[in-house]
Amino acid sequence: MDEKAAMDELQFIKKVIEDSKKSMTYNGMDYIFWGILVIVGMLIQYFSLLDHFYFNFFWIWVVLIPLGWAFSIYNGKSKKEKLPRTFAGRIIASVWGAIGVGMTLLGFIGTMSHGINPMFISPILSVFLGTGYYITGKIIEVKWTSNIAFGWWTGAIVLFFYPGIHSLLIMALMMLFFQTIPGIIIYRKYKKEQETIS
Amino acid sequence: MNEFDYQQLDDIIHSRIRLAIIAVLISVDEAEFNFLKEKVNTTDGNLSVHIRKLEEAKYITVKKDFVDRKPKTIYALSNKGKKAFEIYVERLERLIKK
Repeated sequence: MDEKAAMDELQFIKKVIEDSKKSMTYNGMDYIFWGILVIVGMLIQYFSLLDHFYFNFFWIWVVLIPLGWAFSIYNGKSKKEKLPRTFAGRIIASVWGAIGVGMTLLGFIGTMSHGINPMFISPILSVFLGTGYYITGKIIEVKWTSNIAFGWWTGAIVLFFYPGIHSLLIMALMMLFFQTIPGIIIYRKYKKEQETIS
Repeated sequence: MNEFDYQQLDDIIHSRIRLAIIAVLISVDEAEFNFLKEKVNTTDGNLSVHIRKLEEAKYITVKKDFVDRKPKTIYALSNKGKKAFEIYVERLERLIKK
C-alpha cells in the first residue's frame, strides 16, 4: 500500500465514524411527552386561577410527574432495544436523568418543605432545562439544540422578575416552543432515519 | 503476521466492507444488523459474509435478541477487534509518515 492509498483509507475510516456518530441515539419522545404533561399542568393551574377556582394544585403534579417518569423509563427501555447504543447517548441519558431527579426534588420536596416559593419553581426549572439542552447540544454537536438553552435562560430571567399568574402561561408557552416542538423535530428526524434503516 | 511489523496490514480488516463495519462499531457501543447495513451501504448477503469473517476472527461479538417480537442480531466490537483496529490505523499512519 502506498502513501496515497493509506491516506484514502484513513479518510474513509474518518468518514464512516463521523457518519455513524451523527446517527440518532434518541427519539425525542421524552421531550414531547414531558412537554405536553407540563403544558397541561400549567394550563389547568392558569385557567383555574383565572376563574378563581382554587384547589391544591400540588395534586396535579402528584399525578403528572410520576406519569412522566413512567413514560421516560418505558421509552428508555424500548429505545435501548431499538437504537444503536453510544457513549454520547449514555452521557445524555445520565444528564437528563440527573436533571429530572433534581427538578422533581425541587418541585416536590422544595414545595412541601416550604423551602422554595412555588412562584419561583418555573424559573428554577427553566434554568435546569436550559442547562440540559446546552449540554445535550454540545455533546451531539447540534447548534440549534444548545441554542434552545438561551430561550430557557431568557425565560427564566423573565419569570424571576415577573412572578404571577401569567408566569404559568409563559411557562406553558416555553414548554411548547423549547420542549415539545424540538421534541417533534427530533422525532421526525428519528422516524426518517428508521425508515431508511428498515 | 508480525504485530510489530508496520509494513503489514491486517488482512481481516483490510477490506472496505469489513473496515466500514469496524469503523461503525467503534463509534457506537453496539448496533443491530439493519443499522450496520445502512451505514456500510451493502446488501444483506454481503454484510453477512463479512460479519461472519469478523466473527470467526473474534473481532466482533454477536448477541441475538427479540425486539417487539422480532428477532434482532446485535453486534459489538470485541477487545481483540478494538486492538486490531488500533494497530491497523497506527500502521496506516506510519505509512503516511514514512
